Amino acid sequence: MAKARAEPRMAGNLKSRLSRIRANQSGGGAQPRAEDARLPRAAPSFLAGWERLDEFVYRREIRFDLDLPEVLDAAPFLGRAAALEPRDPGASIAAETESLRFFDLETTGLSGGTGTLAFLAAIGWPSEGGLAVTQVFLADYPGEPLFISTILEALGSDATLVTYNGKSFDLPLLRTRCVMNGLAPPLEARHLDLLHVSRRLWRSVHGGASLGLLEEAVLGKDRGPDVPGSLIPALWFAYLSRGEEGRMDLVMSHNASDVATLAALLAFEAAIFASPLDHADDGGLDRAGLGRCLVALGRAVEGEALLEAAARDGNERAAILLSRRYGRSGRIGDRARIQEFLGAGFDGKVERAKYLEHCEHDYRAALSWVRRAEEGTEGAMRARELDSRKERLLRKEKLAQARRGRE
Amino acid sequence: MTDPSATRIIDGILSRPDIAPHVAHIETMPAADAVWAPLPDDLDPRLLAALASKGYDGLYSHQRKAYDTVRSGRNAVVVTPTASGKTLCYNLPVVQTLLEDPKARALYLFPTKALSQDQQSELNEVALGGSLPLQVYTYDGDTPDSLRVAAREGGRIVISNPDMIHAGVLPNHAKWIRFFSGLRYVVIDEMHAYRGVFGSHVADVIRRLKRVAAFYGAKPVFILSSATIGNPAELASALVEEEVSAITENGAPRGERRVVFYNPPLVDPVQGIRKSSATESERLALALLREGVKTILFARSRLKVELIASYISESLANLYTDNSRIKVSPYRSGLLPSERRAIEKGLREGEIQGVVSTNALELGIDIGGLDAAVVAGFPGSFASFWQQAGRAGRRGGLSVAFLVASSSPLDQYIIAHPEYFFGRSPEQARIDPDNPYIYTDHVKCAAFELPFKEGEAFGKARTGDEAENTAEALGFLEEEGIVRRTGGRWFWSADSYPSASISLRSATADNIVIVDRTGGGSRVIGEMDRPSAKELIFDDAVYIHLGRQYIVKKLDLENKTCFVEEKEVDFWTDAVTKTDLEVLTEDASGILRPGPGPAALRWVLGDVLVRTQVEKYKKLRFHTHENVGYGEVNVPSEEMQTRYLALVFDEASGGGRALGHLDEMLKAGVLAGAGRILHEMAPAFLMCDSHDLGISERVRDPHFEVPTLYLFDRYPGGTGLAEGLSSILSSVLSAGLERLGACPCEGGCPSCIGVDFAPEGTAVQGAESREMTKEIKDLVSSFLASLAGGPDGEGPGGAQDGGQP
Repeated sequence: MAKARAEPRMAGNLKSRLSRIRANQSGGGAQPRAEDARLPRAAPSFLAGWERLDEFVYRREIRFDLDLPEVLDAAPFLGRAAALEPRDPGASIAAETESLRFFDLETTGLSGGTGTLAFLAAIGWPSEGGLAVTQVFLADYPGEPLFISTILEALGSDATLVTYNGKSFDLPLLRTRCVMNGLAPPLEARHLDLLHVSRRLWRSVHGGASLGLLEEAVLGKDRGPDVPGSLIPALWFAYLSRGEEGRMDLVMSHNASDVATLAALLAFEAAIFASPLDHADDGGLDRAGLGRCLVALGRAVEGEALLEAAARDGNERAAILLSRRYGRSGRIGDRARIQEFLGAGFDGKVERAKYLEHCEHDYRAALSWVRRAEEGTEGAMRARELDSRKERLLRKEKLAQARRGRE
Repeated sequence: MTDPSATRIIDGILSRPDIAPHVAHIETMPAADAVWAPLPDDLDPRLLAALASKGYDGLYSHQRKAYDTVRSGRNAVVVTPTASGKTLCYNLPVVQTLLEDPKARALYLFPTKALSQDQQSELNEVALGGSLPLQVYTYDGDTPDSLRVAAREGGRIVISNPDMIHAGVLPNHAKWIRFFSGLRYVVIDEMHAYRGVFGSHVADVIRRLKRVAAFYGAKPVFILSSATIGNPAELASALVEEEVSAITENGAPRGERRVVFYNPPLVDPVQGIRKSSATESERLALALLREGVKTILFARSRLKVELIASYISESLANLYTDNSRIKVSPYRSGLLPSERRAIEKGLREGEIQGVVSTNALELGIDIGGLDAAVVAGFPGSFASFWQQAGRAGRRGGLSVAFLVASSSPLDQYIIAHPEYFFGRSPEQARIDPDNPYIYTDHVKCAAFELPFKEGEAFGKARTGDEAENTAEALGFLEEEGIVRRTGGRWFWSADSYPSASISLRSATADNIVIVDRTGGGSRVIGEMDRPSAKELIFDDAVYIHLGRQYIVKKLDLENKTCFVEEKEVDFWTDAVTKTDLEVLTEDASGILRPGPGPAALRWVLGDVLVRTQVEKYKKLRFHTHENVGYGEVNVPSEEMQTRYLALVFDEASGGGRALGHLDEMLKAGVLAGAGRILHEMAPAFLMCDSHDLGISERVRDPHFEVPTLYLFDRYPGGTGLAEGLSSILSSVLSAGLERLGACPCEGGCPSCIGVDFAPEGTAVQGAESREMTKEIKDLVSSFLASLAGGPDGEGPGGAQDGGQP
């Protein structure tokens, strides 16, 4: 290959090009360089009472009142991981409460990736009839290895983690920070993530399922002065770059309160799952959601009872779910009973058509429900799916007619 | 052996009275036998078995050479034509290494998504056909979440594209520990696609990739493959910033091929207007299809593809009343993947005889061999042309490729210079990863990925001290408050995900969205970058989209929206812009000396501030281009810093003397005419589109104080085009001169210097204006001769004094 042609010295000097562009753009909102950003500052007031582990890492222990049973059933909160635990269908999975570690991180953002880090952690565990919480605070980047290893130490190696959305956020982030700092990531431990169950139980009732919302609406606690979670990254950055203490004290208490709420919520939800039918009439609970959780756990009798109750009260989704469930397991009588609650939505109409086709073999009636399903926007969007159903029903109806003719 | 009946058919078509007179050149490229090399001795028995089951008992020489180079730990770039077995060049060493070392991993990068899916099916064949225990995953925007974890954890070969590496993989590298720790090879296919803005970005993505790999203790070997370009080794080492050996001898056999240059007949010799390349291509394709020749036609836009395909089908329908014997399909982006797959299959299996395609089929998608390719208009680069032409050609058979020229100066130059076309590919692909904007963007992303250590350098500096460059960019980011310098390191310090807002492909991040408000609706029909929007979609402008006309009701720059309404009008609008240049630096300069005697010109390279102001617009009637009025435009001026190459015509230089005796108006005309032709010829030597370059002429330049012609990069900060131009300047000048000499027009036409030289606001009109253009054509000719060494002078490669900083 011919050697590259000799080129003129080019591109000036990148440094000078950069500085010229920089000069051109400054004045346009560039922030003044933080003075003495690199110097250790005197510990700010919001760290009063904290133990200084090194220049950049602080720790404190606080306590909350809390009433937890000694053992609770972890099965509802394990999600798919429950399948990995050896047990009979529907049986509980006992977890000693003293092995629980309630865990929450405050981070520099939600977007994830290697540029997002945690700067505050709370780890709670049952102790002497209450909840002990260790908090670890990172005051600047160079302290991160100690910060992370302090967290890992507090979590311990064989504990059961309890988090709110920790499966997809806190734990992956902690693992990433371990990798970034050359530390061994924590092993996959038993992990109870309350988010998914909480969504099913409360979201439709309270219009959301954030921890703060449930604390107020479900647990009836009033946290008092607090900061919204979305402001927390900016508060830490402001402290970091300009030394602003601002509402950092509230960030600290927010984080500690979150694990206390997490523990209280677990106790509350565990009680619901321990005797679901006793809670069925709590106004603030989505019975159908609870029923679905139970069905998924293999607790069919309780689950179906709750779903049927919801269906009778006009919850069409619950009726559809049950009808499909009964259909799958060939419980024709149960399925027939639920038909009247299917409602006037698209899925309800289709479900009726299915029932009439497969259980009653009444193709003409089934066709009329498919035609009704075609009305409305959803029907138009899913026309193709309806078309094949219609074709099949027409074919079956023709055969049935022919058979009737022969008989 | 060549099939005599195929030769007879092609000869028959080429000698038809309506075709023969317009054939400008036929180049016959003889068949060649394979150059074989034995399989390497160290191949794993499982791999040997897999190869044997595919019928391989030896390799082509270039495949063996690639294997030996790569396995000895050296980077390689394989430069071979379509269908020469290039995938085995990288699959063989990669698969062998992966079989030897269960921890080893490889990353395959393709410029587009469609290609990576094709690649996976082929690889699965390599891996599964011989039941090799290697997991291959495609990881791109379409990969479902359920497969992503498996790809990260278990993928021995991961197939992706640069955009996904940039925005998905690198910012989450901690989830890819196993992959990065074992990363032994990075395969970069279709390397020639990485040029200009995209290539410059990708070079910086590779810097980040190497930096992250090093964090996990890996130092991958790079295997690149490229279509034929002028500087493959140079581009490869610019991309990966390491030494790369080029493998250019093709050992694959090939059948006889003819390349036919076809110049559509002149319709109006005075104005230099020719029949359209699209309709002439359609005619040729029809002639071929009717003789049973499987044909692919390449057109430049989606719309043309649809039109030509339907015209061809109509004509065929008239011929064959049963209409099912010859099937022609359009193929373009925007089709559903299943539709594309059906066409590809139809072509391979012979159900479809003809296809009309955009360059979507140019990249290595397997459609089997065709007999003829018709390329409507030079596709912008030689690499593209050869890839398109390469679609025709089967081992042992005759194939033919037509280049149907358009009226553009570049097409007309090429068709008159087959020797230049069939000689060594002269195109240089250029990138500039040190474009300060692109560089800073990627320093930002890199800081997000891993903190920078004090004194750490990002990439190898082309100029200056690399660690100082990096520190300067980091200082800039610190001022913006997004990195924090503390404890001897620079940490990412913001609540954002930088790569999400940095596109590797588009010029600027802030695009204007074009919204169709016809009939009270609100439908997004397109996007346009801000600088172009100011010149194209100002209030009352006519905007043409997919053949429909719209009138711009409101360009709202603040909200990045432009509202349009559909309306039929018989004119289009053309912005009149004023460009101000302010030279910021002179970084390098040189003297162009075509022969003994005085210098022709001085060139200077540097940074420039370009300020563009749209002043008003002209309304021009369709077809006649008659000016039917003006309108006001009120948009703020656009400013950017970029790289320029100035051609400075000092008084004593050849160029200066050629201009010296002319009056101001003629001087301006000559500079404009020469500028236009140079601007149009540049893409013959530099891989870019002519609209990537701006041009501006100054009769008396305020900076250099003499007549000066500026060529500047249209991308802020530059992408290496100005530097590239300086090294090929004499070739461009000679080509411009030759084009002008060969142009049959009487006095200026769109195929040479253009037609409109009457200065704004003067009374020069009609016949007088045509006289003036004629004079200018002659003057440009002698002006270029003074620069390039005369029509019979030294031609390309005139002496060039080296640059001095």
